[in-house]
Amino acid sequence: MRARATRINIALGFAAFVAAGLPFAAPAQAVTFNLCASPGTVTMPDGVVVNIWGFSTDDGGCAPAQLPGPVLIVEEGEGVTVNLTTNTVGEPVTLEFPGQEGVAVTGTSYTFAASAPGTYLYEAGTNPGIQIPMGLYGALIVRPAGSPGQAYGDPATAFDVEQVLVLSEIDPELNNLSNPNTFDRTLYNPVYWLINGEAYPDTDPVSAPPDSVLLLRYLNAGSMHHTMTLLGLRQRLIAVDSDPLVDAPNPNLSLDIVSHTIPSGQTADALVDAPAAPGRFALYNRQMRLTNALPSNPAHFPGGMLTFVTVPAQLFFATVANTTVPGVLSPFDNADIYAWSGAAFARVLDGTGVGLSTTATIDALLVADFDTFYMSFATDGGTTVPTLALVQDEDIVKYDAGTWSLYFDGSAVGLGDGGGEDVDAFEILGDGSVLISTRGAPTVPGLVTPPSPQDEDLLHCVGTFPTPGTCMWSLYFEGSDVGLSTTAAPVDEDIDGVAVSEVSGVDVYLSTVGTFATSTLSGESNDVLVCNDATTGPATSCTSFSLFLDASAEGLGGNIGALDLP
Amino acid sequence: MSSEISQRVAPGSWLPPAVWRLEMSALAFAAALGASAPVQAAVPCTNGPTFNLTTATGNISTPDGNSVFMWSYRNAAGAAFQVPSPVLCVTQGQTVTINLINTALPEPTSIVFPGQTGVGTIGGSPGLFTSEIGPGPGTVTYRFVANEPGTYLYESGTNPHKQVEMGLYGVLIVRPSVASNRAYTDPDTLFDTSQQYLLLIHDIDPFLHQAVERGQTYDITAKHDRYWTINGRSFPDTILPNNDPLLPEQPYGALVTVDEVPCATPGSGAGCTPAGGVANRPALVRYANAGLSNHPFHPHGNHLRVIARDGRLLAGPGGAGIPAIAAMEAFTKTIGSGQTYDLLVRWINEQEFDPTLNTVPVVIPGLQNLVFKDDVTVYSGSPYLGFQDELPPAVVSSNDCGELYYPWHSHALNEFNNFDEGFGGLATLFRVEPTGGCP
Amino acid sequence: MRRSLIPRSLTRRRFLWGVGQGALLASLAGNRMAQAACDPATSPCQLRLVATDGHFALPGRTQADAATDPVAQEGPLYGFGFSQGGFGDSISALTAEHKGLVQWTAPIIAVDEADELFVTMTNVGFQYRPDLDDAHTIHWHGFRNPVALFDGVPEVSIAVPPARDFPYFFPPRLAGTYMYHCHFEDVEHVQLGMDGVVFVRPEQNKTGNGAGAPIARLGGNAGSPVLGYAYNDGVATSNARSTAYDREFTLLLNEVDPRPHDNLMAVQEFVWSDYKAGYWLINGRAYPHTLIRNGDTLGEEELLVNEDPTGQQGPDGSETLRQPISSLIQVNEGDRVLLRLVNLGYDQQSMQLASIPMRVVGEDATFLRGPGGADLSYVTNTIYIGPGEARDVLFTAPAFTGTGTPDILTGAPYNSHLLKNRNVHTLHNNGLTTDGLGGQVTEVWVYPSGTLPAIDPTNPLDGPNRTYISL
Repeated sequence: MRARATRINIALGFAAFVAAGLPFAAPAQAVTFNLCASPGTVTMPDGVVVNIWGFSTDDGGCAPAQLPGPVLIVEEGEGVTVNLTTNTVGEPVTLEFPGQEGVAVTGTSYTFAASAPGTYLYEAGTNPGIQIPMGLYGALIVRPAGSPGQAYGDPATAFDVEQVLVLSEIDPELNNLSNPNTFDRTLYNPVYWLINGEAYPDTDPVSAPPDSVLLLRYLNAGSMHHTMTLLGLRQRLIAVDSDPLVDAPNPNLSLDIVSHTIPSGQTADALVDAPAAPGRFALYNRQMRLTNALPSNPAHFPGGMLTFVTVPAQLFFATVANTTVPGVLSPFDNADIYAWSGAAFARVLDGTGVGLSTTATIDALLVADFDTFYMSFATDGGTTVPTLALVQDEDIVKYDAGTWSLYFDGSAVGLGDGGGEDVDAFEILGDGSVLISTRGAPTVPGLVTPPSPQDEDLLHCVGTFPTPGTCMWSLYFEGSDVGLSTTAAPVDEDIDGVAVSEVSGVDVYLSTVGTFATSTLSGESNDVLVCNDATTGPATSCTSFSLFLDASAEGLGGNIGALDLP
Repeated sequence: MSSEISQRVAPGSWLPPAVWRLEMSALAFAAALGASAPVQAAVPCTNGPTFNLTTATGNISTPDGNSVFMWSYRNAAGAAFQVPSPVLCVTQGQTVTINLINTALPEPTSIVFPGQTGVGTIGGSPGLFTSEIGPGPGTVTYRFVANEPGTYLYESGTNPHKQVEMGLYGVLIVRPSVASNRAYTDPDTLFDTSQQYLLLIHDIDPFLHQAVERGQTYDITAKHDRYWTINGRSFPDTILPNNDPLLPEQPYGALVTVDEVPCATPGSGAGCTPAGGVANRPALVRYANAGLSNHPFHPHGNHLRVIARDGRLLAGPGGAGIPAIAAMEAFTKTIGSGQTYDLLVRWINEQEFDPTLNTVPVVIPGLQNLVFKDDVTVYSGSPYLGFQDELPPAVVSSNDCGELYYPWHSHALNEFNNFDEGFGGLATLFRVEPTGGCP
Repeated sequence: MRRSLIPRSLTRRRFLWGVGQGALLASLAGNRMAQAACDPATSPCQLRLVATDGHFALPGRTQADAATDPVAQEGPLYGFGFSQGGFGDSISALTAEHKGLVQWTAPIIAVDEADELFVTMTNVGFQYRPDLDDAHTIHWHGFRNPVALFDGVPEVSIAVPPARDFPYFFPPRLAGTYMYHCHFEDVEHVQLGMDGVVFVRPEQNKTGNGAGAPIARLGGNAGSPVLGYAYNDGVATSNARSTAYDREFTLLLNEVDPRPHDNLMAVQEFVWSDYKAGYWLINGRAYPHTLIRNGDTLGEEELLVNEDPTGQQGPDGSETLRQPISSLIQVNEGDRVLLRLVNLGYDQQSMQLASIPMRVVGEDATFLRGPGGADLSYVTNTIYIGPGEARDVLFTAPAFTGTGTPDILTGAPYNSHLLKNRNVHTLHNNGLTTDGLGGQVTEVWVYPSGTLPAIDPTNPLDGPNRTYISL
């Protein structure tokens, strides 16, 4: 659905990151875009299908209509030609380029010089009262000549990553008429509020690396004003409607603000300093247009014009003891879950805040969402969990937005009550099957021996979860095959944390109870090592090893006892 | 967010709309004035940097005799239910700690701090915007360093489309560490500390509040406002003083009072040089909009100097503050939802109109030939500041000492109402007293 | 006979038969005046404003749309307003001439900085609701008013009952664009139409400045290359920050919810917090009426309203024009154009001129220059303007390109640039559209250089919002 705008030299996706220094092709003197206007659909988070009229690229054939239209990116000074090659919406469509001067129109061909950098809309110029609500709009970005990585050719407008945010609304009563022109305009009443054509929770997060500068390009393609608030971070307004507030040698008039009203038809640019620590910062419509359709709709709230500026976590973990985590508010608890961005730490779950006692200890975890966690506990005699009473150390529980449930009943799948079969690491693979490692050497039904599984191994439980579950056990990762087998203090290569990345090949991330040494890599109990490009199964091998987190180098002491990848 | 009137039926327990066209407001106005003129309200602070807040529910009164169910935060220590939530005041550089317990609401709640960075939480469970708490005995703690002086909102981050509407909002004021009589570090933000005012705006659809009170479906998409408040009160209740016994749940007034800045040389007539020094020190007005709509706020009678937005001086990073850069005089300010502004206001009697030295160049008709709306007024009877004159026999005036009054109000005039009664809603008065103030 | 709005009633084709070459607006008996003229035309300026009621035409609510029953809600809309009367006239003379005949929007008042303005406002009562004894006031909005008595707020000063008048006095001291309106039960009176634009011309018109800006034609310098300045900008006319202009137009925005208007005619109440706009207007008219030029009697026929409520519905020769202020912007290429935008509606609007960049040099009669001289003006294609706000907007008309469109009335070719409310859900007239548009829409017509004569302030036709039906 999100087709790419194709131009002669550069193709750019819709939610693109543009790193400073990204090599641009030598700017062409002129650039041409071929666009179609065609009917299509978008699907709202509640499943309602809405008809749209949308622009898309014509690559020798019309891509499906998209909402908003393709992002067109040009360079200051270029001659731009936009051809509306195909129009199948059923009525004449002309294009309008607010903010561009001297647009020459020849038939369905529009030519202008992109004379000033900035963030602009392109949209329907005919019958706007219908064609714009139907979706005929998109973003046009003009980059300052010779200043890549700046919004306006001034160092004070420099950014590392950028995000286009096209704001709009939908009244399905208008869009879904077979002839939208028959709509009674006195009844216009939008019930969907969109960022880049999506409503929360389908909006894309705005991801920024730690300590980066993020450029937010707001465009209001809708037909009412929207006030956008950013929580937890400030946004520095550097331009309104592509008129820069930073315009040396004039005084710097940029404003460091909380909320900004973007009126319909206008654009605004704001810079955000993303912090070092991982976090999610709500960016939302302060008119509280945060709902989808009506309250009777199960996807009603949270919804609407909401997304999150996110400094992503690279890793989630829990500590074995109540270790101080740098940069995080005390008190510290081994029932808390922390995150690491690659640059700094944050807490993502406060164990006592969700009802665990201060004596609870998490020794295995998985983070599914900001409010959804799986965890296993270390205490052999059981851990009290709200509504579940006593949970054994071989079980895995799920916390989902306030509701606790038993996800994996260890004893039902053959793990006993003894401390040796305490699940002290687990992962849920993409296919829903579960990997575990235990505190001691486990015995589980159906697992062929020799070799007997050890505490440095990962067992694979293929089955259905949550309970009641049964599984077929196999050996997924044999630690001793890759040099992890020793238990002689301070060395203890008992795996106590695992996460698996299946993005390209299989990479297995591990933490150990004590120090460890593989054939090529050694480290500490609070380090995270990676077995890259693993061959799993009884004949385990790793193409290479790397150190993913050198905790002490990051100021973190103690011992990591559970980990997960985002 | 509007709906057709046919979908709305006023509940039988409420007073019916006024029978007389737009006259009920006069009775409310008279009641507000009473026998004495309005007394100025100043910003009442709860001082930090540690605050213990709990949730509370209750009702506020509207001048047309109705009552609206609200949710709010209150100070934990024995304080009563109040709307808006307490004004929290800290000094720049302090570590602010807010401990929140939620015993009163039927759902979890939280607090977010727009404009603050580095806000950490202790306890609570993960929520959409921040950590949440309750209902129950537990506590969630929010902690941040108040690095920058200014005017900020604090409000619920849980179900905000409902909880902020219901009243879970308030203002946080950060005073500059350098001096408490400046709004910001810049010496040009010096103000008269006895004349510091807060105008915290909110909008209310009473049918949404009724739905919450009755446990019915809450439909934010149908929000259609009927009441508009400043500091939790609708005009004319906004001109009553702080802690007025008529409004126990709404302790903050919104009357803005200044003394005139006289001529440096009295009697020098039109175009005179204003007096300097303390007499010239402006009043500080802090606007904050916790409502869900933008509101175009229009002061009569005078420009105000806008010096800051969202807690930052209107000066670029290289700027030396006002008057160097971007502060400017403004009349109407459309205050966006979630925004704050800081403004300075002086009233300079440049024309020095005076009954003997500089009379107005028109003949005022006999006042018996004119109308005093509903025979209730705050007019002094004289066009001259500091002077009073006879009014027609039937007219009741609450004027004190010849002070002037100007309304400050939303220019979306449908908001200048209490439901269907005129001269109400999002409005207050600006009161200009002659030099030295009223006795 | 009902005339439908689409497609016959006001397409450009109908201008082909335009008549009234050079007809003066005032020659239509009883017609209202776009701009208030100081009476006499000397300093200090004295004006007489008359407050009363009357009817107005909107697309779909014209005289021709009216059913037989004048109270039915299909004909011209009921409203209140101000019109201009003779300064020395008696109240009974004003009553005879104006009662029930008020105009939308109220006359444009232009006055020079440092000149005093005396406005006597006379309330002649309501023709169509004689049972109502509403008083009226004038509030000059945005003005630093040292005398609350002249601020026009009834509850804190006075109001003017029927058959009485009151002398308002304003010493204007700051250039810029303001608005004036009644403040008595203002939610009703402003919606019903008691709104107008007032602006103050800067001293620089009369003095020039030492930095390279000559005395303006509006300052008495007949041969000046500058018609006027928006503010005392203190810079040369060649400076990009100059506020010099060649033509000026006032655009007063408001909305109409037809229900309170119809309710008042039917002696019914209206719950003001039910307010929801159904029409969006510029200078008291909705598109396509916004394009009708002064003196275009065929176009103006759409706007004529029968003054007699019990008279026949339909043309009978006694109709008058209630809405004399056009919003069509006719300029030559290269002209510096000043738009004085004012919003007296209750909603925030976004006025977009997509193809011509606009520089906002003033907001609420405050020149956008910081106290230290920093330039705070800004360039945009979309003006965001809230209720009670004003914007002074300058643009330079772009070059004429191609062959243009031939002007039906003057024959001269022009390029048309659309100025529309970008809140596109307002682009209709209570559901009706013309060519897909309605509401707050007008056009900027750019002619080749030299097509339109320069504005001559000594010519009574050459006030703000000047339109041309012949050349």
